[in-house]
Amino acid sequence: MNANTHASADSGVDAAQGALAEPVLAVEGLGIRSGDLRLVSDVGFSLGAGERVGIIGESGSGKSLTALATMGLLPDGLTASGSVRLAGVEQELLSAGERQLARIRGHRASMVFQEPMTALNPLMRVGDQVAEVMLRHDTRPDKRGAADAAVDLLGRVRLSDPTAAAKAYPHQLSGGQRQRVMLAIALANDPSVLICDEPTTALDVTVQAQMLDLILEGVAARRSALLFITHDLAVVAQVCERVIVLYGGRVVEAGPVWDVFTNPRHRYLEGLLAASDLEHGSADGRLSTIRGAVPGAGQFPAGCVFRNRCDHATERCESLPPWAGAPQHGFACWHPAGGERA
Amino acid sequence: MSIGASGELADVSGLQDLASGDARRRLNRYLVIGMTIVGLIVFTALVSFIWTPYDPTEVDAEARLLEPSTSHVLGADKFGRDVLSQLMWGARTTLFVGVVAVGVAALIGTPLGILAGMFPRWADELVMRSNDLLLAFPALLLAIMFGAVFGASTLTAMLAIGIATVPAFARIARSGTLQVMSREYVLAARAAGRPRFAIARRHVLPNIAPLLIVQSSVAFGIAVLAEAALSFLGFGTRPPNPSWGRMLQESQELLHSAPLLSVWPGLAIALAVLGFNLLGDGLRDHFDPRLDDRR
Amino acid sequence: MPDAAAAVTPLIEVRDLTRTYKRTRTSLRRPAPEVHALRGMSFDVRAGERFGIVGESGSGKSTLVRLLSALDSATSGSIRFDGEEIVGRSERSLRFLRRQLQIVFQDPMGSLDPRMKVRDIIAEPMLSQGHDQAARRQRVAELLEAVSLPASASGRFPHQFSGGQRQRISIARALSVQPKVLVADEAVSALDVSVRAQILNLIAELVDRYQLTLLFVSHDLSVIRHVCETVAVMNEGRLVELGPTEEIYEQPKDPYTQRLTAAAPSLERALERLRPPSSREASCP
Repeated sequence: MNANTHASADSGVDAAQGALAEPVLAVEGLGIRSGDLRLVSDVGFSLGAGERVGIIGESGSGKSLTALATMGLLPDGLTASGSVRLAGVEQELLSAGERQLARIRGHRASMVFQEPMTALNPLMRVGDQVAEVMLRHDTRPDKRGAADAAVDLLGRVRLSDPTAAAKAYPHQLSGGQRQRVMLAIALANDPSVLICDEPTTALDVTVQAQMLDLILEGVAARRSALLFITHDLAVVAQVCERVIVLYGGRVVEAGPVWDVFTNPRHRYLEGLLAASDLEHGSADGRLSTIRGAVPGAGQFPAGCVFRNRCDHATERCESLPPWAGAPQHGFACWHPAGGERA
Repeated sequence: MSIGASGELADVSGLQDLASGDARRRLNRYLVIGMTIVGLIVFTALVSFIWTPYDPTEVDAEARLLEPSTSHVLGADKFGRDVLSQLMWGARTTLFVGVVAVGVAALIGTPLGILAGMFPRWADELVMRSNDLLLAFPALLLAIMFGAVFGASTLTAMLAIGIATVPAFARIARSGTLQVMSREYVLAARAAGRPRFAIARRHVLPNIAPLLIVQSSVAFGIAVLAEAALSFLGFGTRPPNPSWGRMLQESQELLHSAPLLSVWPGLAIALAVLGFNLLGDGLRDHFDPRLDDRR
Repeated sequence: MPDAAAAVTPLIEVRDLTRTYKRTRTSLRRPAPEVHALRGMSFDVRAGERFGIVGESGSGKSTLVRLLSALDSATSGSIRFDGEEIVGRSERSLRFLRRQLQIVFQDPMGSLDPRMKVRDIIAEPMLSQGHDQAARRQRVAELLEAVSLPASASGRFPHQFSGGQRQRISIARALSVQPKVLVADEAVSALDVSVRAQILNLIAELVDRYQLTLLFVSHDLSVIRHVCETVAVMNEGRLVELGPTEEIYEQPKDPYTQRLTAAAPSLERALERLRPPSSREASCP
């Protein structure tokens, strides 16, 4: 993997950079609810041009919902509050109408999903699907131009024999190939933000590595911002410069990947990193675990969302811990690892 | 739910449950409404054994085409027969129609479908091709044939309708069975050494039941209407036995002069079909343990 | 492993196992295309061994699991379980296998019948082994405790549990007939990281306690490395490499295995690359 070497130099300057450049995507105080149940509370983050940010979380963390909310794709029955702003779009995205969102999706912001088979139309040739997204947003002058550009894009995502691939139907391609097609569709109109929701989880390991390379290449070539959602810590470390950790619908920690993963402050992240470490278990070969299980939706405790599973919880944790640190680099914990709050 | 040491219970609802939580509360009402309507029909049919305002087969020349009045609450038909009494007796026919037609179709079609789904290749081919043969017969034609051979009556007509509906049940049962058989819990049952019959009984049947329940309520509606059509052709309920279908058919020629005569049986049929559909939906959801928590 | 173990007959012996499927014909003139899911695999599993099988999609590992548990029939080859041949036997004569080998499946949602109560799910394997109801109840209670689920779980339905808890139920079901061999078919692949750690610990504990032979199938090399002492690497229906896990991981000989180990995402490796230059100088490999 190539593109990560410059990330280390950025980590120290990160906060200052964020302040200087206008963010391409800015999310503030995002809340998502279903009836009375709060699924996501007070989530905020921002992406600058060309930045690669990951959202890490397990089931029930609200990470997929957050991604869907930014694109206005929440399922029926769920409502979002707060603010999502995209550079170059005046209107607040959460209150934008479907028509306006349709103009933005696939153009200024696009998304790659986890399951390529269900995301592609099984009845349409692959090349036509790529061309369609360009024609829909008028980024190519005519059908001919779009068709040619489609073949070119399929070549750039390294599908062998792109001309033949363009004529194929999704079921004739392998899972990895379909994901590449999805990527081609997502990048076709040079979006300023690319959101990937577990794009490689359903892929084989060898194919996954190639896909991650392609994603990095694709966003680097276009200076697009990348929002990468996953549960896989190793993948986030490979792909992203900064990471946001979600638990129980809240941001519990955020910051540059190196800092946050080698020196976690929030107890959940500390536990998660320990549990994912398969190589250094205890003497009897047992893995470190976080006691208990993730509560169901709406069953997270009041105050600190993690306190019912935390060995360091005290009465203080019954009130919501405030954010400590800079907006993009900090944590929310009353008794963080590595000593008391700075 | 208490939350304590490792491995404790958590009442987990996936996102799907959240979104359909409201749907579940609404559907519970469907069950109630469905049961009410069907209960009303059953009640009416039962009452008709004890009492009706008039003898529905009694002809009264003076009451011909009477409008609804104090003597005949819903009016009288062209022979002077009381409409309300006919409706009440007719409820029996309707229920009979439903039970026989759907019963025959479900009791024959379901095992066939399950067989086809569990024994792919030979049983599947055998069952499904026979099915196709049966499907090729229009239901009404079958009923006419039955009527000609066995003598026309409500029973023969409904047996014919039932047999003609077997393919629909067989198909639904088969496709549901195929789906269930591909699930990992069936694989686990096989790995546990469970014989095929036990798997069909414990795993397949309960899991395809919702499909069958819905299919039954649809089939009921079709059966009732089919009976009406057959009565029109003279192969269904023979006069003077009252049936809603026959009432509907007889009132057709008087559509301009006495439109109400077609409204009452029409409403009754529509209400019955609606009631059974709602009942079917309500039952299906009632028996789904996944929706239990929202009760 | 001590050499004395080699003198003992392996618990599972696989020789030239092949499974070929015929697909439906696409052309009238040419014969139906064949899928070679397994192409002549041979290996042994010793009693008490923790044997890992790693492969990607299309490697044939799922087919292998089905053949080993007699849920599918081999095209050719032989599988001997405890000295008895399994291939080609009728279902009735395989009763012994059903008692001695059980599987925990991948999908926590699909592997439990949503319409059955937990106690019936766990007790199901015992129905074919002739235990009476009282014995079954007792066993269910024991098993719930063994997998750290509360007793109240027995009257509930699967959808009321989380993914990790459902896997515990699956494990309890597998252990109900006291098998000798536990096959874990991607048993933790669908679980969150923190839950995975719990379930892996549980499996390790139960394997120790009941002295089971463990066959752990996964696409995740790092999980296999943690759990198993021996690993078989599969690719396109063939066994490409077999040996002690550490050896295979550190010095893979087959080019496919090398690709696999190189591509597997590793947090440690990724963080190494991210390390700021200042601290990089401080540490030298």
